[in-house]
Amino acid sequence: MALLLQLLANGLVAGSSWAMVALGFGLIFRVTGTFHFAHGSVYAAAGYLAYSGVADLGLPWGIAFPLAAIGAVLLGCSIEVWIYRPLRRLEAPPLALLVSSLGVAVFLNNLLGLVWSYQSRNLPTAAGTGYVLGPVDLSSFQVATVAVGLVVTIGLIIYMKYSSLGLTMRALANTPFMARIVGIPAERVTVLTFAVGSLLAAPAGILTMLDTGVLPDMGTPAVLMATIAVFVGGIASLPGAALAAGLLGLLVNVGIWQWSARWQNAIAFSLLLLFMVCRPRGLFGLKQRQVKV
Amino acid sequence: MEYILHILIFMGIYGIAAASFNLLIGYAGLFSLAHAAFFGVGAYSSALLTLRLDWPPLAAAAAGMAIAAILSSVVALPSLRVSGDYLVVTSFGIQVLLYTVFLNWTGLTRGAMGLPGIPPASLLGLQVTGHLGYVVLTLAALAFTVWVLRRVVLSPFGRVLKGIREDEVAVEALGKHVYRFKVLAFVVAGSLASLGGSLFAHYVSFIDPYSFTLDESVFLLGSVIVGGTATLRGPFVGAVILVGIPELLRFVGLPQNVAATVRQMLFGALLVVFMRFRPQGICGEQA
Repeated sequence: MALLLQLLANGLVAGSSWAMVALGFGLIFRVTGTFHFAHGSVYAAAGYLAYSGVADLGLPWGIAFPLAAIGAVLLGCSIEVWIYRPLRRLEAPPLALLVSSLGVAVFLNNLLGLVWSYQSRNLPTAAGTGYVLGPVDLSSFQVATVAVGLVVTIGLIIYMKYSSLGLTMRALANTPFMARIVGIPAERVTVLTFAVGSLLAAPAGILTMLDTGVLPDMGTPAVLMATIAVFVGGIASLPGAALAAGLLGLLVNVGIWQWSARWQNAIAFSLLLLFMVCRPRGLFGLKQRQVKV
Repeated sequence: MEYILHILIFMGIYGIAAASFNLLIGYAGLFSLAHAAFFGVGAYSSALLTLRLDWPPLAAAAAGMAIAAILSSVVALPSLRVSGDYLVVTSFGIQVLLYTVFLNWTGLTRGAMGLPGIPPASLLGLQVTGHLGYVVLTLAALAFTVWVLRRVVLSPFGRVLKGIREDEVAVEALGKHVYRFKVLAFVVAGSLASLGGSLFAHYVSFIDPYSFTLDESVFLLGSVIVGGTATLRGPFVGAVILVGIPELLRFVGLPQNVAATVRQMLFGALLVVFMRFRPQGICGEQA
């Protein structure tokens, strides 16, 4: 029982981390229609930049981490401007953007490995204090992951509902053609969407670095989990994606309790396949023609 | 000389896998990323049936193709309800599931330790030996693949597949059973990939799950894209280039671990550059 509680807590931590990646991925996917597989590389890059800011440049956390987030935003926007935008202007099919995105992800993951080597990196000083709640034992970074995950999720939901950029993004997501007619600058909003999406991935990458350390190809499993969360949650619903990510974390960890950690990917993807067969629109997906963000 | 023959055999094996993949992504417009898994189904079927049950390699390869065909049609089922991005994520799921099975069903596949000592291929009691023997065998498998693909692509069946790619609703409206065609495309592509996998297993004589990852599917995708989607020659040209470039890089003299990384980066960049400047690939015609 104690083990189960601990695993559920771990699941909540993993789920919060995936939720942040999933929100960015989902936002970009929903607003711009881009299957941004390289989002995982942006997430990993944020972790590495934060690591280097502290370990190599000797910056305090309060400066290094925001800089890492800015770096992630710049990376995300660069991918949009240099890789996706030319393809959009050529009116390439959406799958051409996915192929490019896979190429970018392969390139970036290996670049990270080339620069930072294939060993796991984390900050030696970052042992963090432990929190013990009954049978559950969590590090301060794990607690922070859950807290930041919640703040990011709620913040994004409010931002999308009330800010003018949020409104514009929703307009572009729902009816791209009408959005252009009423004078929404589609290319600029697209870049801004990538900026916001990449910004959401940054805390996840940094917290992962602090908690378990970063690896060059950790972006791929993260973006796959994010994809599952987005599709299980329903592509039209950002809160759905965050909720699905949390549920996924819990489910996978209950799976560890019941079977073994080796099967966690199989469990996650079985859930996805189940949804694809039985309910392709996901938990909170609306039927076609009533889609909202 | 043996080295060159070795590379030619690999080009042939990956050519078979890429060409069958092309039937899905190029001709039918079914963007799946689970092809390396079916390649793996062939490799594991061949390896296990010859190692554990002493089946003759030809029978094992045929059985592998049958297994892959059945699995492909199972995979095709969810893809009938979903398309586009949904099909992509479904295929991610299939790819990861099959890979996890290769990796974790240790009782059957020995997991990460892999299966060593797979017997060499033999045809009707005649054992294939030496690199030259495998070149001939690969060419035979290649000829079979091209024959099947030509028959499929140049037939009315192939025209319907292209029709589905261009406009599914229109094809449906013409009274074609779109679902059946999609399942058949998956079955043919899956079983041909399995044939390539069988050849791979016998030739290398050792397999482990790491040859059948999502990255490997992306590699096959790269071969198709670089060579040219929806062309018969394209995937072979793509496989020759993508298998060949890393070998050429060997002579540049980078340290081993850096070379592997640089090779991958080059591959990623190649995908991006081709999508941007020549989406139809090397063999494709200007649209």
